[in-house]
Amino acid sequence: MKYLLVAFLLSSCAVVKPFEKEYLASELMENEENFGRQSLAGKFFSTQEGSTGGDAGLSGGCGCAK
Amino acid sequence: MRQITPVLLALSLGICADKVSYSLSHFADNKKNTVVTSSLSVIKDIWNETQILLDFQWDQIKVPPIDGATGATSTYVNSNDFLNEHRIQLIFGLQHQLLPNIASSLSYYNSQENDYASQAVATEFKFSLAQDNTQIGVKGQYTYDEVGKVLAEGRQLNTPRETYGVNLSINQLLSPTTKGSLVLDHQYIKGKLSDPYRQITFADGRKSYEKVPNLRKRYALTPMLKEFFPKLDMAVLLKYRYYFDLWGDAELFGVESNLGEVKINKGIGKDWVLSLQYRMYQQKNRSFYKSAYTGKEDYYTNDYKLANFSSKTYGAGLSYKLVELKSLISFLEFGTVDFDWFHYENDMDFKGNVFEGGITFSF
Repeated sequence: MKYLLVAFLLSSCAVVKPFEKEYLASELMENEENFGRQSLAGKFFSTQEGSTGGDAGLSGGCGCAK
Repeated sequence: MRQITPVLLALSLGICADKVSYSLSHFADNKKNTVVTSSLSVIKDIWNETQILLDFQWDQIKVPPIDGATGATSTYVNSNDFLNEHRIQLIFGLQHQLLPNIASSLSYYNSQENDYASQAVATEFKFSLAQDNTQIGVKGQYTYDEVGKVLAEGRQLNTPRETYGVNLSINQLLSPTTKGSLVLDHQYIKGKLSDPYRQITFADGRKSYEKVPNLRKRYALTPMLKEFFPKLDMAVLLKYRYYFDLWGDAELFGVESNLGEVKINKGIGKDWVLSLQYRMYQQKNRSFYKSAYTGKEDYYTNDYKLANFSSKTYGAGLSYKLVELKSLISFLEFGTVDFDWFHYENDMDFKGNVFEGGITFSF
């Protein structure tokens, strides 16, 4: 994990020019096609498993995740 | 008809909104739990560089009389009937571009169900650096939950739970086809952490409600990598998450978990996207969780979410761009219809399926 972090930080020196960002902007590079969908998946896993994290959306508590 | 109402609402809101999305999902498992969720999201530009976001969710939950495998709780502990419950969730958010390279957001969350209520506020700042090659996000969230228990005489007893959360994210463009990101999460939770309905049967036959520490600290580190393959019109998304938590003032080591996920998005022609997903998860409990208790322990629980287990999830999705509709309706800028299915199973004899369908319009 330590080496992965160092590799990630070192690689951040590379600069991608604005005209080179066509592929990066593709919808295929998105995790969620539907902007209301991420919290549904996150809530599902939080009700089944003892861990959480790595999601960007706002989430609160619910009785199903007690 | 009840399911169609949000669609009509979405269409009517669409007249004034910039983006509207509606989805319907159905979950069913082999323990006879079912959850049907309707979700409606609206985004609207209200003035220069400011957007308003409204997200509404409605869960219709049906669970067996005693604790179902989803962990949903029964308000009628001794009843033989299935419990039908509703949960309403509302998120209200504001997003504002403070400076050309600094975006901010403020959100409010409210969730209500028969014996549980939750409210949260969150704020986030995103900084774009190095010609938008690097994006750093800092987010803070406070959540106040009221964990309710319906007593035998019908009275309800509420116990508070507070959560302080911090989320730090770094997104970095690594090449014209590669994105990397790193997310760090921390939650500090204090208050009622056990399920008020769940009971333990000790070795001598005595029964007791479960008892766990009233403090939990959760940590997660999530690196992600996304690679686009232009010749294949395909993107591969890789995600790993390491998680652990500490319980009580004594910082008892609780759950430790590893999560790996791969997702492939493949363009088919100009209008279709096919998605395939596989997720592996494994967790261990290193502290107070046991399969059996004598009653002399400080803490005892039979919450399977704190047990040792592993799970796998696989699924597929299909998305279609509403190109024809766009040419027919002049004010419609963009639209998609998508359908997803995924199957979840763990090694504790639990398996379930989720089906989701959604539609999104941009105006």
